[in-house]
Amino acid sequence: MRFLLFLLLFVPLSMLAQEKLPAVIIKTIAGKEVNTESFQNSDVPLVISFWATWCKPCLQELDAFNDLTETWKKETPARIIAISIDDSRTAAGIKKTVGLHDWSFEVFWDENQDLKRALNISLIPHTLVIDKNGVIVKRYTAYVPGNEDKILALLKTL
Amino acid sequence: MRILLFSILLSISFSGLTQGKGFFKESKLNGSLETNNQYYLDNKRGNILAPEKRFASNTYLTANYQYKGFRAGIQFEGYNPALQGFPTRYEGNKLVRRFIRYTNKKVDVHIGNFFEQFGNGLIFRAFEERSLGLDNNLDGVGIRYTPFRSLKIKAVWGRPRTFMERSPGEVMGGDLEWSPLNKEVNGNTQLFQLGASYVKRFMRYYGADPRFPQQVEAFAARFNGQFNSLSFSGEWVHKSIEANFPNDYIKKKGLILFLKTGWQDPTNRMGLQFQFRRLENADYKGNFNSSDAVASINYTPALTRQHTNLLANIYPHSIQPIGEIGGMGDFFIRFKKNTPLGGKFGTRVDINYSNYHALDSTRVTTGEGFISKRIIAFGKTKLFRDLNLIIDKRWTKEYKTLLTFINLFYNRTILQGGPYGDVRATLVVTDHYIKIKKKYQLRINAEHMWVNSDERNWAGLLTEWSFPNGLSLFVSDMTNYQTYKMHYYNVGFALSKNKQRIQLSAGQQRAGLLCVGGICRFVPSYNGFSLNYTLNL
Repeated sequence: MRFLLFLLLFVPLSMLAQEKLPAVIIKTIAGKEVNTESFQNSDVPLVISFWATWCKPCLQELDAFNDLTETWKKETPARIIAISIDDSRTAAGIKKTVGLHDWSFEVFWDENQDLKRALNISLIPHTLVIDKNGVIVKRYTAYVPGNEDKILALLKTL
Repeated sequence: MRILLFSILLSISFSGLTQGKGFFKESKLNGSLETNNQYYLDNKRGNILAPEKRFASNTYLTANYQYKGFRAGIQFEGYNPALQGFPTRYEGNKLVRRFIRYTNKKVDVHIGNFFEQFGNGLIFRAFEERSLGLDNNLDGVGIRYTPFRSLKIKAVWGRPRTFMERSPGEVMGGDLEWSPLNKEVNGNTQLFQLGASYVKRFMRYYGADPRFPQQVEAFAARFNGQFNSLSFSGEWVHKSIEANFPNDYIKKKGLILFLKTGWQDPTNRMGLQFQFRRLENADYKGNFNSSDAVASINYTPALTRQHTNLLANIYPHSIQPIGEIGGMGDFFIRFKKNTPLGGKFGTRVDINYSNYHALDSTRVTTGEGFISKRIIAFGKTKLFRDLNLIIDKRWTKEYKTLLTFINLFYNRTILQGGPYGDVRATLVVTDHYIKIKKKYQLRINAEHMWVNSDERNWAGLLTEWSFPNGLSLFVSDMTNYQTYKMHYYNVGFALSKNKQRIQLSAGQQRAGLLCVGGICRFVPSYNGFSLNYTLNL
């Protein structure tokens, strides 16, 4: 019952406000701190993908992005950002995974999952498409082969 | 009731503020709903009886709101009752988290329930891992202060969450991080950081022992550096005498030592990494009577490869915080496209080795339990060893394979607690990804594990079809065909559509990490039906 009341109040509210990327401090793989606010200063659309070293579909999605980097560059100025949610259990594998897959996009680390929590993400892979004004225009939960083409088509309209 | 009041207040504050046009532009609001439900059936052949309450459900509802530097959020959880595999003390419905937070360039203040980590988390980590039923958020105040770019100060005070309640123990601490070197030279990072932490726990003791340590203090010092391709870090934690339920209330000081170093070729052709860790009475409890990982203050995870196959997770390392020494080594090499070993699309080879022993220690009859004089000395008792190799190869645009080889040693007597003996296992996994017409994907994962004891050999098979509309169908089975001849099958579908995802499956589940339908998650054991739904609002 409480859930229902909550939903009734919350759903209309969430429709009123635009969802934007919250300002949270994350790290580079080396350990340098970065505020996610800085991602929005570049005036280009963003694709932000949450992943982990132990998540096979995440790696598949990011490989698909990587294979398309050249094509994407020609068609959209969008910036691709991958954010690992690995904790200290598997964090040592982040750098190795980036190397092994030779990803050409930027990779960051949400060490204690502050950003993941601020965005209410419960499952990964989870990919956000953000327009030039910082508004989250689309969220993709899970990876389905071909998502990358849908994302590119969407980016062209932003 | 409280949740209702909170929601009403939130909406009133909204309607009051909506007058200003800039408000909507600055407002950020989001929420999520996750519900995992299971219906249990008996399996007479496997002697698995359904629990008395055949239906179980874990539900999580969150909402976050941000207006400029202010943020507020809530999390509501319902266990009606909790899913099999979760501690039964997760019960009922409750608002388990509410917070307000203010952030500007120098200060970040958190009031209410919050998460935080000092250093590598070896001395303090408040975090949430829903799938495992872990949430030790502190209810209190957390502050981060950055007076200069190179200095960061953190302070926390509060009570850790224990299931649906708060721990009777109180935690306070502080952390300092100084970065004397932090620059980019020709695109290379040059970073050097030093850190120090202090964490104190106080919990009143009402027993008969006059010398029981109610107050436990821990200190830590750490460093982290990166010079071009070379990286290194380490942390040392000292803890005053702590007696708790998991260590049988021995009165012993704690020590954790962690070292890590790595080198990676700038063009990502190859890389090397080593980690070393020694634990001695390392479990730092928010509540000294707590039996499991719930209400721990620090985080000392298993440093081994997290396997994502069906069978490898039957024998995962479970750390021994009372005393463990060992480490992990990683090596990778990438053969480029159009080379003899790389072929047309390149080849990736990934080797990982981890090995853990008990400490070299002597039992003593004093309250200390045991002593371990030499810091860097491996005890005779082997706990766990895992040597594994993964070869990742794309053959054509449509076909890719992953070949995994694992050889492991698992001390079942110690890791599972009982006179079981040792387990030696060798596992071979072939994973095939086949793309059809660019949009459809078939994944076939076939595995075999040779085991010398316990349930002996296993075989496993998983197939999964993915469709461009977000639908995926999966069927998997694993069987210990030499002994109990049980089939742990799973069949179902998942449908993902933007902000929503639903998954329905039926089967018999062994607990472990399962990766299907585009998602990886930990699943507890059950026999029956499972329905999971997530929604981002």
